[in-house]
Amino acid sequence: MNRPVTFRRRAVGEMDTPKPAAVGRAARRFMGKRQWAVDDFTPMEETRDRARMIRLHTLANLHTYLDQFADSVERNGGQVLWAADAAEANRLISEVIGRKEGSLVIKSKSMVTEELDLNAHLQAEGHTVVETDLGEFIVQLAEDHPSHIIAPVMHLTRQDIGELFHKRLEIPYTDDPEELNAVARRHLRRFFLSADVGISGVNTGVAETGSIITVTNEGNGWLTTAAPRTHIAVMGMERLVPTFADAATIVEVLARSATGQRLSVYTNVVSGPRRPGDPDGPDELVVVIVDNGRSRVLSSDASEILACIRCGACLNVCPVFREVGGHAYGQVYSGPVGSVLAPGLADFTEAVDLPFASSLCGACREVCPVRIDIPKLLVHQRVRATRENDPFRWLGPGLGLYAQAAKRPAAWKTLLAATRMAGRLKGDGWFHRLPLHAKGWTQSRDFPPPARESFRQWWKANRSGT
Amino acid sequence: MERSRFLSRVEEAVGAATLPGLPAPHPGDAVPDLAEVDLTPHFVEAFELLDGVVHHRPPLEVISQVMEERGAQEFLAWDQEHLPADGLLAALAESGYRRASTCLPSDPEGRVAHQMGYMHAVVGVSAALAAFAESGSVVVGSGRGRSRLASVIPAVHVVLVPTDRIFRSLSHWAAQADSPGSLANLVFVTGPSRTGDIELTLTKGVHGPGEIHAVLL
Ligand code: SF4
Repeated sequence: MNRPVTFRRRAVGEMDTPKPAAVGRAARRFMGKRQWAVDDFTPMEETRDRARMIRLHTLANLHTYLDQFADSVERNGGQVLWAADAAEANRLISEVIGRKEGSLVIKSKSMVTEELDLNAHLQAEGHTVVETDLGEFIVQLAEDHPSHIIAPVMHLTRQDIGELFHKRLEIPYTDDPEELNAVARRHLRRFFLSADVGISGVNTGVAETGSIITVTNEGNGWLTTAAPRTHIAVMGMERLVPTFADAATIVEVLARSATGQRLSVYTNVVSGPRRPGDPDGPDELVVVIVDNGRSRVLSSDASEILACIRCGACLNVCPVFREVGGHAYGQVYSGPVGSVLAPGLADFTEAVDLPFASSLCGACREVCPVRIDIPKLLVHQRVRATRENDPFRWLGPGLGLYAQAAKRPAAWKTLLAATRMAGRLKGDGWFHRLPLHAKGWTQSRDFPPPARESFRQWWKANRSGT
Repeated sequence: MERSRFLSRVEEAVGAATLPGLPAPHPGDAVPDLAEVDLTPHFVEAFELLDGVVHHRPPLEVISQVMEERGAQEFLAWDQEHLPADGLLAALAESGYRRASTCLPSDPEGRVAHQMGYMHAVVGVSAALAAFAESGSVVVGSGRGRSRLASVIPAVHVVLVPTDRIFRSLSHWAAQADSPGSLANLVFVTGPSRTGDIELTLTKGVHGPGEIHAVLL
């Protein structure tokens, strides 16, 4: 009975730390901000419908738009490389960097490079890799992993960060966010200005113009793509729209949904390396388009999840995410979107328990800017997980035991009496661990205490004879 | 992987996809046709809401004041021909302020050395190719005589905004922009650089300018 209990183990571990309070607080503040921006010039509901249609249309014609996108990038003077999986992507990126003899690499936040574990790969090759998003920089200093798509250090308090800067950057301890911020600005500035290579993710590519769009609030995305001689953009293959006007719709919806802004502070559109006469900008632009399981997801029951624009809103409203935080998911993509995406990307060889880490309350579907029916996709993934990897094998024998007992009145009475007795012996009456085949139930939930008397006993005492 | 093999894998996956609403038509490019309104007050309101500072005074006055407040002698700027304020750079030079060169040497070492010279840049001056009333954004674009780093490196960004270039929103601008991909770099700047990464406490100026001034023309 090797049921993978990884999510449960990690979740219980996370709930024992002060992190959930920090995560819950942060997630709720995100939601407050979101509401602020919902009423505006732009008719939000129509724009969401538009964004959804654009994304579904792109996915339904993805090969055509990828082809057009690659032509457009090349027409702008950029180069396009194609990576079937993480290993190939890492190798291609190494080759581009290696040929530059450069070893200082700056990065702006990118989930897809997390997926590739690119930093570890480049460091192993002797390059220095510096994360420049403040949150990611903190994560890198702490040798930790991001816990949220938009807010990677949601799980750390300002005191944690103060301690970390004090230890790793050798500055006097402070937990004032303004000061910590200034320290990071000073520290990272020389990396921006002297780096050989800048690596960015891609929020949206534009097939028509060959543009790649990154959005940041700090400005690190812009600096990463403007200062170094070489810019490598790593793009999940589904992150595309047909036209520039479509991209405008997507970034408008994204900013509102992610942080409640009308637009992110820096929406950065890169269409090729610097043109003749440009005083600055990269001499070279390489776009690495990554599959890494996406075509598998596209051809599965969960295709729709690829319409995701990574706003993070579904994480903030998810009661499970708010309780356990991003790390409990043990995957690059956490929360509702991660629970659908992660097992699909990994071909159900891992993370198969994640689709079960949801109460299917539907809050994610309500909030999703492109109206992805996440609960439905979670159920699809559950069916598939059960078919291929049966994480609920315990349920069959458990129900068998119940059936055996239920068919024999004497056995049934004994079983009930025993559980009632056991329930009274324990402090709160709840069972945290059931024996034998029933233990699967308590692996992910506590079992309620039995009633003091059985229905039959109650009936005998109160109703018999009337 | 070969492009053709990659794409045929994708094509196969598209064939097996279970997307809702197939054949999933494109929604078209229409943006709502709205009544003409004076967008300047909307832009000002949105820009100020982001803690941007709006000026209705001549650029020379605004820039001199910012330089003085910061005790700065040197600034980064676009070439005069791209600034919609005649004689601005000459007047700044006359006032004793020096414009740092924004033209990078082509050899790698020279380039890094030059860029490192921007380390303590305080003021950058550029101009908006367009602005969006809804979000309070300004559009800066690269090109001959238009440095990207001039807008993003300094602690203070002063951007000249011709009011006849204000559009309702990004979508409205995008719907009429011809060849928005013709410039290597376009950035929609919406307020000062900010982060909420530390306990979601808003702090400004983490990497980009912490202060942004719009001079309306
Ligand atoms: S699934 Fe929807 S709500 Fe969740 S991150 Fe993606 S776009 Fe946002």
